[in-house]
Amino acid sequence: MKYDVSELIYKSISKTITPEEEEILKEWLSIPSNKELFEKIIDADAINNKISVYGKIDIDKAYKRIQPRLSVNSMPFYKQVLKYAAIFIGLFVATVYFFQRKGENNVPQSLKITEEQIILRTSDGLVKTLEDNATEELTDEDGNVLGIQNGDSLIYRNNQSTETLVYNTLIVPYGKRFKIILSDGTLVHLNAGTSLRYPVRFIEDTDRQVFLDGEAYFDVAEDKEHSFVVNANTLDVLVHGTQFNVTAYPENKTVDVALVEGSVGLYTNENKGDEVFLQPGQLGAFSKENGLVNVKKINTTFYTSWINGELVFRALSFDEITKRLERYYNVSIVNHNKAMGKELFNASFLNQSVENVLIYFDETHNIKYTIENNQVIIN
Amino acid sequence: MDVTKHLFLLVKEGDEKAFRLLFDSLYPRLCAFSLNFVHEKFDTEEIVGDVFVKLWRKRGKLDKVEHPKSYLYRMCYNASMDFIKKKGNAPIRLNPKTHGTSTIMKELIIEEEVHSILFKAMDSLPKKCRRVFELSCIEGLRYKDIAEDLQISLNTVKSQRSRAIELLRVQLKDYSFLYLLLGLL
Repeated sequence: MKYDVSELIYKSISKTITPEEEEILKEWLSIPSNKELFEKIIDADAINNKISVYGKIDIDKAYKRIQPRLSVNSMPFYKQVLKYAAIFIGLFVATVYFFQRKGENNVPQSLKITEEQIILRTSDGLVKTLEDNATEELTDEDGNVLGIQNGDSLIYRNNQSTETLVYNTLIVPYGKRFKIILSDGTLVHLNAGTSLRYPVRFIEDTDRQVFLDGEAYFDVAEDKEHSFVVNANTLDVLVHGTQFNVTAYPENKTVDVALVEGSVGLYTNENKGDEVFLQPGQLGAFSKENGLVNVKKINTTFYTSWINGELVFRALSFDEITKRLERYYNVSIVNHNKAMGKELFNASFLNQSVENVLIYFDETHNIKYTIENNQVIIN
Repeated sequence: MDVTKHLFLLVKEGDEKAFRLLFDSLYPRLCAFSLNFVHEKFDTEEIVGDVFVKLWRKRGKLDKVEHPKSYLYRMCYNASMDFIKKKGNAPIRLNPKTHGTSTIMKELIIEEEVHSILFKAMDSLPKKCRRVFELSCIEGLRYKDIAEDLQISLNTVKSQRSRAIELLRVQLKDYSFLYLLLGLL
């Protein structure tokens, strides 16, 4: 992290620093200019002075002052013109830069993958990160235990009955996967780049409803009295105790539902009474463009293997494959070869590094790629 | 910990609550930072307020921002410089040209971060605890002098001091506190 030296200095002042951190700080302080900065920061007068500055700031008042300006989005005409002028200049600069770059030799670099955290957002707007492999209790505002995080899964309890629905949202970034067990015992596997909004506890006499953006595998706990409904973009999936996979990434043209076991009905708000039912082993592809559901027979393992960390591509376009690799590894891939983007490939990978996957495509399909600015570029 | 990206993502989606959290956490320290360049506290509040409005209006274009916090500091620096230019003859408190912009920026940011973390941490302490903590850890007074100053026993000084440190240590383990209040963005 860029500024974590601030954290170390804070810990040093507040005597909460650990011996290891102390060592790091000592090393940092061995540079005279750093030492000078340190002395300046920990000076009691400087701190008291600053505290009086902070203390005089009324945040609520300040926010009320800017709030009226947040809703207006109008921009004066001359500024709009300037904006477009700026875009043209930007394009020009980018083009020049691009041609200059072409002359240089591309030295292959390795990819640095940034790790992002899984986020839990509660109904009152609080945001909490879930650390990998942590075991931690999850409580509500009043300190009641809602559930427990155990490594890569979050398990909600069903120990108290409630009258109102309280929603949490779990956001899984690219490069991560996660599992959640809802208060009714339904197990949900969440793929990379997915968010799921769900009630912390389901309530009596109401449908069990969750909201999905991205990809998830559901193993729904049977409860004949309470239907389970997955809202995936505009498509709703009505469930009758069952296992199925829903792929509803915003960038995809379709919402895909692959049924493994049981029975599901697909419907939208417009045609509520007119559900399309799927049989096990079938895929329902709901088109976001025309609202029609296309049903076909599939091998469901191709749609569910991701829950075991496996990447399986069957007759999949290269464009779709790169998108999946981006999500799986949290990398950025730019493909300039439009023709290849439409070509279909078969491949599967288990526990491979992104480098190995790229090398595989290079060797078998002769894709030419370079790594620039931490991006994979395919020409 | 890449929480700001997510907080920024929420801001990008038009989540005003997330925006408010960002504002609450960073507004005071950005004002204090701006005070390095601009004389009047009143002006700094205006400048930083404008920066947040600007951030909100361009929320759809924050994708390429890699370090949101440095980005905001940078925005405040630029806005402060614009303000000075507009005022014409207003004196610049720190001349970045003679100091070397990037080093001084970095140092000012570190200073601001430490002080704002410290302020928020102290603010969370019970009153008595806080006073002992201030005198001991910031002013560097001896236990004996603190006891005299506050008219309490030596043992009370010691126990209040260790209680303060323990409370702060617990805080550091609380991730939500960590990144919302300490602003590890």
